[in-house]
Amino acid sequence: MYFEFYTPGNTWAHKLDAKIKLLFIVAAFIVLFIFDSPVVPSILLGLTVVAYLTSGLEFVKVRPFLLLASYISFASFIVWALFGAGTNGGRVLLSMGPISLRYNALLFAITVWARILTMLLAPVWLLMVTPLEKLTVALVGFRLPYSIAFVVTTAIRFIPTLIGVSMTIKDTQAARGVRFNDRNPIVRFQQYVGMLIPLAMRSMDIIENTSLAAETRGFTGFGKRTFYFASELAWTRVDILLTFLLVVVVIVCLFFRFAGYMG
Amino acid sequence: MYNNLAIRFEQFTGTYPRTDKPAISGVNLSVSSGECIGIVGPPGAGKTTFLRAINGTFQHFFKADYEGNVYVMGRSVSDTAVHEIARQVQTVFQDVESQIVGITVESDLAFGMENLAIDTQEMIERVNTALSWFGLTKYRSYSPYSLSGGEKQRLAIASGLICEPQVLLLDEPTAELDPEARARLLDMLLELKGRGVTLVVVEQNTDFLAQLVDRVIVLVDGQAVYDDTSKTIFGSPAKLDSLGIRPPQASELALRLGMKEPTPITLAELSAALGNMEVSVDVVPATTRQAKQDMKPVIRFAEVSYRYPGRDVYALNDISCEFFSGEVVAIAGRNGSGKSTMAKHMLALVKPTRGDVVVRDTNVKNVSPSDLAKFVGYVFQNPAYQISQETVKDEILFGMRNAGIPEAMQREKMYQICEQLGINTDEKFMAQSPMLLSHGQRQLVVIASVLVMDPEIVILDEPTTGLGYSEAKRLAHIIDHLAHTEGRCVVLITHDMWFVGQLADKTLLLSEGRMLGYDRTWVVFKDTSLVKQAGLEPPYVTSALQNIWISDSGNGRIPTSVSQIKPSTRGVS
Repeated sequence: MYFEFYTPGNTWAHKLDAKIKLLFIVAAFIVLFIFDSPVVPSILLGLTVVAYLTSGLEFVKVRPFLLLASYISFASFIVWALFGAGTNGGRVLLSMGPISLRYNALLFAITVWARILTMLLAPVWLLMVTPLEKLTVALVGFRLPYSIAFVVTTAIRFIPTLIGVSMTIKDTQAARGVRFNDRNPIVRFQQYVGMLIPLAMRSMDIIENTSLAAETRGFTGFGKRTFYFASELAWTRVDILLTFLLVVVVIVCLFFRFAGYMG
Repeated sequence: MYNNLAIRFEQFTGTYPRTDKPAISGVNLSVSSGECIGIVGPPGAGKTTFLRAINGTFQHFFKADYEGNVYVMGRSVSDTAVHEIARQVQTVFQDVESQIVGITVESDLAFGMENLAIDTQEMIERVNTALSWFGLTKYRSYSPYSLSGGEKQRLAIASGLICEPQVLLLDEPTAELDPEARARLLDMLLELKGRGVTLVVVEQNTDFLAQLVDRVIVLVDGQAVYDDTSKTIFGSPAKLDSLGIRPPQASELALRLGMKEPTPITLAELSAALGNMEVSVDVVPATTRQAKQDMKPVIRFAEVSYRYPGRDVYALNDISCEFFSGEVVAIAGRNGSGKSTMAKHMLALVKPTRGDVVVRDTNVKNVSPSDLAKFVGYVFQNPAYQISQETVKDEILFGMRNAGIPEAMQREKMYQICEQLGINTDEKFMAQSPMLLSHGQRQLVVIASVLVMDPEIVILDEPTTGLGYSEAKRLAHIIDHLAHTEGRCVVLITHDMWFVGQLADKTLLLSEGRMLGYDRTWVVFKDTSLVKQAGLEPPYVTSALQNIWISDSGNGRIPTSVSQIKPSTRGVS
């Protein structure tokens, strides 16, 4: 079983320059934290959903991330709606014994829910429509040293690899009588801890083999190199214009926030 | 014939850090530009180290202690960084997955060229040419991990060749390939040889090498003990056998038929030689017993289909078959045909989407793998995934401890199985980390850890990968004993047709998740079109004798291994 974030395609999302996609994500993160009202995070969440729907991504591939992000964001929603400190103002909407849901708390909980969902789903969308090599080049385009950009993207690359490895190790251990479905949660935890040794050993194996392979293919973190995706390195007029627009949007958002709107 | 020297070893001896014994010792030889050489030897002979000494990783990456020197295209490897050597030497590793660096096929192809600072436009042109030449164009944007074993191997070779090296090193390139992919690789390497690329191929499959290389170097204990033409070395099967190297099946068969050394070394040569002779052979009657009609199967597949979650295509489609105690069953097919998926059902690691799998009267739908682990032993394809303990001893005892077997019994069983498998039982070896052992030794430790559990059903997934000839023969003997003396059911998942021909009573052919055939092995191999449809080739013995063999006592049976042939009194004339 293998898993890879990137899904090949020929949509606008695949064609858009990796630098611009990265900037979109960074700008979205900044804007998400500027406003405490649910309006802007909800708009950004809506844009993220639109991005997913128009990028030709299969639902089966998105589903596990959507589920994970939904669980996390929903848990945060409940905590902030019912127990959030500092958001106790406003009228009471629901009351059950000592627990009550107030209007302001509900609004803030929606903000947190939309914020977390967007923060988890937007980077996954980026990885699904952009080969990591293009992200490496994009980071170099932002003047990050190649060796660091390579390490960052290689670390991301190993996430799906290690998920696959751990699934195989779990199978091999179960085949030798290890009970991962034991009713006792402590025993179950111990069984999972037992997977760590082979996972660590296999990870070290993979890392050594990959660095060996990279070196025998001429890799050096510091020498002169060229880029296959060189177009991602160059700043075209469109790139500059889009970057300018993003900066303007962030500045306008900051202005509105400090002027007292949607605070 | 060859002009310049491509590689020169000058009294080269080297030892890996934290080891006492040299991995390579006193090697002194030259390879001319455009030569195609094969490196053979038993496990631990220093074959991979030989390649590492050429690409510089032995000296620089592994920081080995060495004397003497190696020169590549006139440059001293000791004085040249690995990434500089990469301009002239590219390497294809045994584990091709570990050398994937790119996230897509095209970016993996480009990685080496980017490192060598080749112009972007030039890179794009070379990538397009390579994609087309290696038949990978439609996979351009795919993840390399999504490719089949054969396609990954082609990508690995393409990624090396695209940098236009003068020397290409290949470490066990056929280890993970099915026969169909192996035949395609052979054609590709023959074309490269024709183009004048210097090829150095480490390979255990001497049948493959016999069709490719002109010269063979035999390494034993790090020393080059023989260096001669492939015809001389491969034409001496008795000598190879004594060195622990599997002789080409053609030469082994020729010797069995009474031909003198040097024997023919390829199927084509053998067929030509046999075509001019009168040959009569008797097939040794099968020693295996037939499953009786009234016996109950230990494993039963009833109209089983399986689809992995999130996939559209079924990995298994409508499989129905029965396996019995006391027989060896081979499940064979090309990479990705569903062999391992089928085996995983037998241990409830996956459960059928449709239909039923019944193991010892238990439907796997109702149990977990740990419930079946007492009866079913499973040796996975890659031992590195299966090993979880810090010492060899703990690794072998792991399953018995999980099952709560008394300690005294654990030790007794461990020593018994280790002796059968030829595993060293001295304390120093038993206290070693299994991860530090060679692939072949690790494989044996994993097999021991499964056999100590006394399983009624033993499943071995590609058990010969990484094993040397002597180890494979020993394993074949043990499997034979487990099934035919102790009465266990042994399931082999493999595309090693030599191993299938030696051992399997029955063979089940799979192709794209569908069962193409399931019968006694010789009956399956007799239908060559079916075997080819499964992407396989019958063992050489079967192919070579199919048209000319005359049987006196075989009752229509055809031989599937050399040991089944008893030359008749007329023999070869």
